[in-house]
Amino acid sequence: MKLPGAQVPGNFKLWIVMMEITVRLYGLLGKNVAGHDSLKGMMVEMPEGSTVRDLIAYLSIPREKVGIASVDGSLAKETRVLTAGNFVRLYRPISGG
Amino acid sequence: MKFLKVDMSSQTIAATDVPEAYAGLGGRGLTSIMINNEVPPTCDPLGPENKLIIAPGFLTGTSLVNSSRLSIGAKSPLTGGIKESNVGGTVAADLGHLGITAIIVEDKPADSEALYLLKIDAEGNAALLDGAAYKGLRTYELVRQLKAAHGEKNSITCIGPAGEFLLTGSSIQTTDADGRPCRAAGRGGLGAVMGAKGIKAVIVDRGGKSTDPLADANVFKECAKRYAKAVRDDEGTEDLAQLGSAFLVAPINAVGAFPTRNAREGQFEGAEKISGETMAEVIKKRGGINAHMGCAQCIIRCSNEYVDEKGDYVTSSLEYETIWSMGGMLGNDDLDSIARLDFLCDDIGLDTISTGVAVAVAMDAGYKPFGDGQAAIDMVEAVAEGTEMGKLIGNGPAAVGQHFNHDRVPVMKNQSMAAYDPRALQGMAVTYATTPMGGDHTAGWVVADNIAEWGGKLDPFAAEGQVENSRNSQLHMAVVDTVGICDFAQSGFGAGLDNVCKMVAAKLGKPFGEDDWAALGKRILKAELDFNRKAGFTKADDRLPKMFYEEPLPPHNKVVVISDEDMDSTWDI
Repeated sequence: MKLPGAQVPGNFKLWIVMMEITVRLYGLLGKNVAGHDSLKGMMVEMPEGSTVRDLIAYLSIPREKVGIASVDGSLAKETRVLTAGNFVRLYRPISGG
Repeated sequence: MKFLKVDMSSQTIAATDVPEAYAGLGGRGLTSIMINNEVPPTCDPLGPENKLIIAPGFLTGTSLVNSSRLSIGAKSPLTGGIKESNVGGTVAADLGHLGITAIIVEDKPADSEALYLLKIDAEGNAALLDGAAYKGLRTYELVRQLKAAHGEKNSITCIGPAGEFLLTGSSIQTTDADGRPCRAAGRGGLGAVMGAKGIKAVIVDRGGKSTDPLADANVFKECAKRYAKAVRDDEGTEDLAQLGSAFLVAPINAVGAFPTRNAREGQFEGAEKISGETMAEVIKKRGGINAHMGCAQCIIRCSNEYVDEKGDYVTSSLEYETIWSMGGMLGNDDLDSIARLDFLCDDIGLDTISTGVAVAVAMDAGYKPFGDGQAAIDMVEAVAEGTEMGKLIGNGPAAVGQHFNHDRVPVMKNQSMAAYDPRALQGMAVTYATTPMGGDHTAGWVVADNIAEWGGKLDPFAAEGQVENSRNSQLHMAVVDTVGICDFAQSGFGAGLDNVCKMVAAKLGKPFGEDDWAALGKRILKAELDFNRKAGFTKADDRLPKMFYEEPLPPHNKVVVISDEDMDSTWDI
């Protein structure tokens, strides 16, 4: 999946350095995300400096639908800045007993 | 509204009105308050003085969704304290439709080999029948034979060989919406109490038409409608339908609270292979059923039917706690063997949590290697065979630990913890240690509150606020288990606690508000704590095994930090 708007129209070209990230969506988070495999996840390209919050927005997932996130196996806050090659896992809020 | 009192020494049954002392109660509130009033706390749990009380929730039998919950109470042979074990299926709704508030089984037959069936017909008439022909049967075969003899349209609540052997890890199984004995009142070893009473099965006609009248049917209907809408509108409902409670495997593993290899680690490297996502895919691919309806009046459908590679039935329902106890806890990433173990426990009549943790302790002690699913299957089969090892496994983790002289035994009041490590979720340390039920997650599930990174209000590694939060959860859950609402349908409280209180009032015929809800929670907990105190429990019993205080749990490398003083303040109510 390519991020639209990597170039801005007009005479000036703004080049944004992109990075590849793997994201896996758990529960039903990936249900409406094109290209997401429920067991393998998907690759996305995002501008360097993007955060977990940016990733959630980019995937068009309402923020409140995400309950927990991890980056490379460690819990992460939504302000966590991502780097190339990160494996991000997003989980639904939990309830139960 | 009536009690069925079953005297097993004379094999007589009496239907009586519900005494004023128990008016307005159902489920756990009724079983616990009655046990505290009527069962001698120091009695032998398998002796004649103990009572086995089977009570649907106060709202069970009404039109309220997800309210087919049954409380089974007794003095527990596992913990030595008071016990309420909660189960779904269809029997609770059926008892509600017969206007039966509780079945109270008292005393025991003089002949310890005698075995009976308790049969309740569509008019609510009860009879004890000779059950000798069913002795030793596993639950699936038992149900097949009982349905052939008594008709398909019956709910059957029964014990397997483990209950007959009086093992303290034995369950009471009950049939689901498809008539399979796959729903378990697993905790506390109550199958042994039923076995000691000489009852193999309770057969309840599904066609009762004597539901208790409602004092205000219109108000009830409106509130029930609002409740159902809140459940339907909750987004978690769809997760539960598609993945079942197994949706918890991935996030609990992610937060490092998934006890692995007898709680030596908090994350399992094989979790992806046994996650809810994987399970749902396997079931779908093989032609099994996700989003299966297991309980009467359920609109969530968290159940499933797990099938083998040929598409043949293996078990229903494969759930989070069992995937943990037979999976992560054993270092076993083979979903097929986990499903087989789930079936075996249902068939033999064993608590999957207690049994899985018992196997984990045996593996930790070096009896068999972690990760060996077949060894686990052999150990569980040994329970039905009645071998010495089988007796140990069937008596739970503490018995296994004692046999191997192994002290890494994750039990509280002798009952195994569930699938949340208290070192990574300090709130669960409080619940496990202080609930009168012994290690039990449903008594006060404070997991979400402890996921601080993403909106949980408490630091999962700190003591601050944990006691108060667990206490409040435990008081609330005592009433949820009294009215008979499914844990997973608590999303319906999104329509307001007052909405639920109005339903209680609409049945009671007198005001019942949020203050009454809170007061009832305290009344129940006080009765349970009082019973345990008289049975000999002290504050020293409200502690965790030392492994949780001394062994840091990877990956966070934390231990339980709740002080004894804090634990002791939990029940200053």
